[in-house]
Amino acid sequence: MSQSGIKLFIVLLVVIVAFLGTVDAKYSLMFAKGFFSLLNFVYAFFVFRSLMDMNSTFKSPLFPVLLLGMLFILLVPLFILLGLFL
Amino acid sequence: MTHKKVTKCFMDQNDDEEVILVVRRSFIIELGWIIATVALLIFFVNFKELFFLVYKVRYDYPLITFLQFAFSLFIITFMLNKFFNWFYTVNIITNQRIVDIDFNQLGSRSLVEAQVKNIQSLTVKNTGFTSFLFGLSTLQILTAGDNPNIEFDNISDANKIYDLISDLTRENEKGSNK
Repeated sequence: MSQSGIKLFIVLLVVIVAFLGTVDAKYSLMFAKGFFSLLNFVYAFFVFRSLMDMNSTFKSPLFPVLLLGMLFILLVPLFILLGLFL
Repeated sequence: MTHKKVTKCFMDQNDDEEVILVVRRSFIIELGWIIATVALLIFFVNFKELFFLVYKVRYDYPLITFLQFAFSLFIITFMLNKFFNWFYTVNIITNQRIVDIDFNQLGSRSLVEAQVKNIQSLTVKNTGFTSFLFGLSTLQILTAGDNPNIEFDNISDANKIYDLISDLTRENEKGSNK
């Protein structure tokens, strides 16, 4: 991730946390879950784009396996968030 | 003139270009990050207990869940970056050129190529304890003029690859002299 991407992510995180502090506790939890789920999907999309880009540069026969493995791994944080794991 | 149908292996591969060899870093070099990932996973699985040991407070939900979420994303990023760095950092030797594809980090890559006819000299370097222990070497390919030089880092069988590339350059010279 580039420097500007990291800065944008930190600013977004601060804004969201500040927003969560202003709302009622039961809603803030709901918003936090929603925000982190969204963050996970954005991150999964970023990794997916990166993988597609690399596959256009170097074509590997293992690409479908890598793609499925990556999608499976990126579901783990979502399971944690939903309380389905650990 | 007919050409054998070649499955494209990399971007910009010509129809009459045949891939001879695809070279990656030796997997032994990757053991460091694999051990680090296993250690992080052990830490992650015991995260709740370790948190209790340090802070003497037993938080369950939602703080621990959010911390575990952030920590899992960190481990995944670390692991994917390192794995893709190994898997997609490849050197491809074809009958026409040598291609060096580098995966720097997620969303960043570079591609350098050198035509076989531009290769000036080859150097095999073997320095350091690990390279001596596991028989790993670095092969440097110096090219003519402003063309970038190419390095095959931490590869096993560097001498065989050295022979292969020098044969290719010799054949190319013979072909151009005819």
